[in-house]
Amino acid sequence: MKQLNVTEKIKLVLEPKKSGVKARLFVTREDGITIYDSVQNQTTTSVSALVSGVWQASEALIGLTRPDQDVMEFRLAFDTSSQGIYLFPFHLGGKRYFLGALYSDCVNPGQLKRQVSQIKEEMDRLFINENVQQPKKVKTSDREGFLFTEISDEEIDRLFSVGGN
Amino acid sequence: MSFVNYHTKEINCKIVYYGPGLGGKTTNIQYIYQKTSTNNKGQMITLNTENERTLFFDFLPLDLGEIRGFKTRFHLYTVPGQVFYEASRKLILRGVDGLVFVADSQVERMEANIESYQGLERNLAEQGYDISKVPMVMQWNKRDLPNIVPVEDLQFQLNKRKFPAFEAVATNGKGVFETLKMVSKSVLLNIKGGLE
Repeated sequence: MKQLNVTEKIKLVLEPKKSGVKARLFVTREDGITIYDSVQNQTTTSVSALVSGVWQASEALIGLTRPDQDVMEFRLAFDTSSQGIYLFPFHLGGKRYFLGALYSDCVNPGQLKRQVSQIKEEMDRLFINENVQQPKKVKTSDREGFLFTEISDEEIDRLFSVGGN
Repeated sequence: MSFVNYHTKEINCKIVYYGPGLGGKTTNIQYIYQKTSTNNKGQMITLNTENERTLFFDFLPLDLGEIRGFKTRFHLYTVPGQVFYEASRKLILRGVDGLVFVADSQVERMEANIESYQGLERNLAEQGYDISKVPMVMQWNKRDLPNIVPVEDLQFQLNKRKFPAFEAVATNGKGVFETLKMVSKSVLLNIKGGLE
């Protein structure tokens, strides 16, 4: 069976569930990199950056009161009776990720929160003994250990020329 | 920490603009945002105080073209420059791949530049980074103003490690993309590879 990477593993769990959850479901890495988003649009990377920021800030706030506290099991909610966001951390391959649900016009937010919490629990179960696919060594550069040997100024200019500057 | 997805051939990198308050970090990002076509940029996020000073961070995602078959995405962040937002600056430095230090060239801001640079060194060290190994570019901003420090003095005071440096006037875009291109190149060259 084909070995899956992190992104594929998470997608495999979330894709079948997204239609049953009346919210935007996403997974972001601790440092704000998007791993999955059920609504792919211009705001995808912004959502991830903000989630990372809000989580880090919340952790820092908790650290002010209890510096010795283990913050691994915290969840984060910012909600009214019909709209909001829930964040649940989980681990895969030794790294921390956040499963999030962003919703509005929700009749039963409690039920939604439960649904997302169950997905998180399912991921915990699935990934508990899971090691991420071990990377295969491939030759990518003559410069030992680096992806690129050399990048010319022309290549960088071409890269930025699509930006319209 | 950069994220290379070999499956989808994507590179994600985090670049942080650091420097003293009112030095022009946000102006850099705003200029890049204005001059980048809609297809290549995401929504710019700014978390400001009431008087338009950066409170937590500015964030601009840039989806650029391909380099050697890898689609590149840069996440640009600024830190709040005001002295009392040290905790926020530490948070934003987490996972950084490249840095732009935006110094204010005015004579009266030299002390603030030095204090900010020392803070950067301290914050990076606290998070286990060796500053000499983090891709970094210095930007001497506000070169259009009177009463500015000569570049040689800025180099002497702030750039003992001889990072690449550019003069800039971020308000009219001078030096903004040159700085970004240089740090982007350094970041891409610093990405660890050899794994799939």
